[in-house]
Amino acid sequence: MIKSWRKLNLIFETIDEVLRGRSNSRIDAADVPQLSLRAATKIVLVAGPLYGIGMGSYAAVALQRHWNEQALQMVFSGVKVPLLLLATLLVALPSFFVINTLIGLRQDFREALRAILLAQSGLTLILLGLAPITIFVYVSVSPLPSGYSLAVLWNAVAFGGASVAAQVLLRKNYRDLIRIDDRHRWMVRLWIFLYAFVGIQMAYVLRPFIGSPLQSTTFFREDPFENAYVRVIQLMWRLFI
Amino acid sequence: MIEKKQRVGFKSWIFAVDQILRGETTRADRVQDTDIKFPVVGVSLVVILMAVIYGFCMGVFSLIHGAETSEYSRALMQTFASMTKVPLLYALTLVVTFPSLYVFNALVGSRLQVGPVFKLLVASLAVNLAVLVSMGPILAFFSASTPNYPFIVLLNVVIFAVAGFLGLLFLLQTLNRLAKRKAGDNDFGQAIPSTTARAVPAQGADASVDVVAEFVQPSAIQSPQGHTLSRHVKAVFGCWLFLFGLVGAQMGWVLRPFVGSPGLPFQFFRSRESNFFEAVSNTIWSLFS
Repeated sequence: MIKSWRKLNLIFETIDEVLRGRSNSRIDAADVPQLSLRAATKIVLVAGPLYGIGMGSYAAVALQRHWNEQALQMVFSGVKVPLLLLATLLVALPSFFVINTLIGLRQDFREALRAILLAQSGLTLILLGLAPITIFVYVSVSPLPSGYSLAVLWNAVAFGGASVAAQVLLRKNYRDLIRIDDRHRWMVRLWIFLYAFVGIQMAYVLRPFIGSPLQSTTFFREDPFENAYVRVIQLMWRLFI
Repeated sequence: MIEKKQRVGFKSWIFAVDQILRGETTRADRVQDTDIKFPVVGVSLVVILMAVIYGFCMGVFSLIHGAETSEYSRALMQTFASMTKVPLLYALTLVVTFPSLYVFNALVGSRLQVGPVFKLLVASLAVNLAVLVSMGPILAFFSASTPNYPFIVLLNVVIFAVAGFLGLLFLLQTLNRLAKRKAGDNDFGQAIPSTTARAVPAQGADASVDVVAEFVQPSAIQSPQGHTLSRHVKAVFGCWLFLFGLVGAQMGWVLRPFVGSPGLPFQFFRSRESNFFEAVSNTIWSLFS
């Protein structure tokens, strides 16, 4: 009992550390144990799915669809949240690595990667913190005719807010690196650009995250893949002409 | 580093490319007698390999979307064509421009010999292609998830431009270092101010020049602080930039199609019409409609 209590305490200490962006103190406190890359990945792999499961519960909450039917969508959403983050990371990382090397910051790359992964685990923790609100929003909007759109909108707001907060975390984690070498300032910007560019399309490809109550549950949408940016440009073009 | 670890075969070539990227090969104190030292043949082979890999990433578009509209063999042919064309693009550009680059270099009064000029160009191509291939996953991902042909073409143009830009920055810096070396400037070792030096040990204040240099991260594409480009480095580089850019872009145009429009039948070369710059503006236009 006491042992599990201690463990829980330790978990919360770790979460606290991630959210405060303190764990990247390479210079100030060499004796403080640092969060490893593995720990950060673990957080993404646990907190991400938890939010995804909540996110995918819309149809069950809204239309009283049977939980057995909804379970599949919840599993899909649970898989998709960490998949979105980690696949985007994998796709964007090689170019970030080469450009870091080219600019002369290879020595710090491990540290930079840690900063990035910690910010990602921070993102999932923030989302997890918002999960009860998400369920609450589902319950409140479901009687409305536009309930599904509102649910999607809320999730967009939640993801957007969490991304902004994670960006702040990333900059915090990068602070020490920037102090050592000013060029890291540009590398953070480059990373945010690369990550957003790939991530937006990744999210578009991995739709549906919530699962419309009117459609059957599928991993990918049935219509062929589209490009998020082309869609936006075309929509705007039509708007103005 | 190189002396310590003896590596052989393919691994050593990869290592050589890595050293070029890290700026170790072209570090100011390593560039000697207007020459840079690295295994040219090995690095060239790695460059070709990287080009082939990027070509495959280009082919992903026709593999995914071409197969939906027509037979699979066409998609495979297109992928194969892309994989041969990317290395061909760079090799032919080098062949076409090398003589004039060398001649102009000599005219302006640089003392770089044929060998070093060639090596310099191979090293910049290595940088260029390393950046290019590192963006390969991004291209492959977008190719797989985007049926929109103009978007993929433009993404390719942007990736090639970014990679080319970084390759040229490397070229400029190395050219500058070689010129400085030749002019007998010996202030390279000490010229690196401590703002870029990191975590120099406490006794670093009276440490010798060499010790300080050890703690500075070399960068392949940045000039040591306080160094300006000399006039004829600028002239040589300007001319090279113009030739390389123009010939390279048009070479890419001649070797079309790289991606393969899903609506057209497979052909290794397309009929020669228009030019690169007109085509890019047309592609941007067609993205909107």
